[in-house]
Amino acid sequence: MSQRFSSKQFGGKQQVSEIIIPVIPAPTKNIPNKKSNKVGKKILWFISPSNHLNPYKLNRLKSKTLIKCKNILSLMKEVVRKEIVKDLIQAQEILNKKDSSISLQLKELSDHAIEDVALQKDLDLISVTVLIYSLGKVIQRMPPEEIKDLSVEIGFAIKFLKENSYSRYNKAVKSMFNIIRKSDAKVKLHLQDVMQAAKIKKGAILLGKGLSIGQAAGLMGLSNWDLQSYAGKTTMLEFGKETVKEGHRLNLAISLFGAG
Amino acid sequence: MDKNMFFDAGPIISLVMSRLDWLLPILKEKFGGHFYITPAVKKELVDRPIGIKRFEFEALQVLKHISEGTLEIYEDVSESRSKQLQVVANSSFKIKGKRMELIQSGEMESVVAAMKTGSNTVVMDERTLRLFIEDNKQMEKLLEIRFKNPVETNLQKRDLFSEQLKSIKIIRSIELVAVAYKMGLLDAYLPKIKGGKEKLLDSVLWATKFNGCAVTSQEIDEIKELLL
Repeated sequence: MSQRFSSKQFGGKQQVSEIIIPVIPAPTKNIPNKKSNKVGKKILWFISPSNHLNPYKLNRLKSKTLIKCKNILSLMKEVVRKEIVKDLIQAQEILNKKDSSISLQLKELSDHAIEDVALQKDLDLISVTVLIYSLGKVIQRMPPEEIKDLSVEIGFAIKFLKENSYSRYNKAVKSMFNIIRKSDAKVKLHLQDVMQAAKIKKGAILLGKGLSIGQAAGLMGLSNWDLQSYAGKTTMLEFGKETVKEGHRLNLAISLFGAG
Repeated sequence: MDKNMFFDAGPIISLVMSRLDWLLPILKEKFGGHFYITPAVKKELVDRPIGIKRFEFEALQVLKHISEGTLEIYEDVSESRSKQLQVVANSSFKIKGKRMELIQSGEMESVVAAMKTGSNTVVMDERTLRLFIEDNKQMEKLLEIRFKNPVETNLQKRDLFSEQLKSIKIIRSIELVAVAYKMGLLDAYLPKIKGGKEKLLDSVLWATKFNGCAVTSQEIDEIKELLL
């Protein structure tokens, strides 16, 4: 099933849940929902964003054991699955190297991954990209044993994705965030900021790739305000010369306001 | 015919963030027509940020302009037309066999509404749509450079999009600020120093750029050259 996203679907709201993975809320408001139980809502935050794509099926199932549900999880595109596997393998290799440039390498990996986000517009991919970037930011504060646990969990995530076992993949990703959160109180505090910053940073890269502000902000679950205030302060978005000469544009404005 | 000017979300954000939004009512008076925003733009300017702590007050500032009638909501937007143009735009380029979905239909609303009223004037800070309207070849070049991959262009779609929007005239928040300077609306900030005028113009132009208006430093220099 192909996936198409728009900011309307995303709602564009900033929703940093405790588990954080889905940057965008599930589209529950238009779904006929007889039992809006808390459990269902909580489960929503634990699952992969790909599950958001079929709200009707999701709603029907969410009072059950959604995480274990397999029939709605075949929505991840093959190309995305492969890309996530590749990114996670590289992230694991970087973590296992234990050298001083882990942060930088994770950032570079995330920068590469965002290119695929621009092409695929896939929430699972966005989550992994943001996860890797955020990890790069907090890794220096994490004790070695936690990094080891994280690497093991990434290994599980890779294994489950390869096996197309998405429910277990989702659990593994959830565990990764839990490890990061529990590792250090400061990390826990820092993580939400980092996640927000990561989304803005990645959103700006999407802008740089040529996506419009609305499109880039929508993909990252940000508002235009977030992205525009950041975009204005970075030089990376400047591109060549404008076709319409400034003199022409200014004269048009002057004539419109009768300021000649 | 009434004079109308349609605002995308970007310029209002730039002006509010630069603390220059107080210029809007004065500029509207000088313009002698309507300043419109579409429902999608209002959503982005007020409804969404009002729920975000960091931008709550900014949302209220915009809401004040709406309540006072400086910014009017233009309701009669053809969603189907916006969607149609969005589809054409987003099928114009492919990279690695994948369609590049560059623009949202909400972003098309201001342009569609401006065409409908015949005013054809849009204030837009956003570079992507502007580039697409004004120079679609440049858009292609941008994608090629940024993705470091060849871009497959559907020339028919690309040119159809540009053809349909060729009557649109775009100005940005930076030009609004430049006009305000030229009209003397910013004179209260003129510092009593040598080169005070240049300092004032430079400061407001850069403030607008830093708050999100897509303008190059070279263009800022050009504005200064033209106005000083």
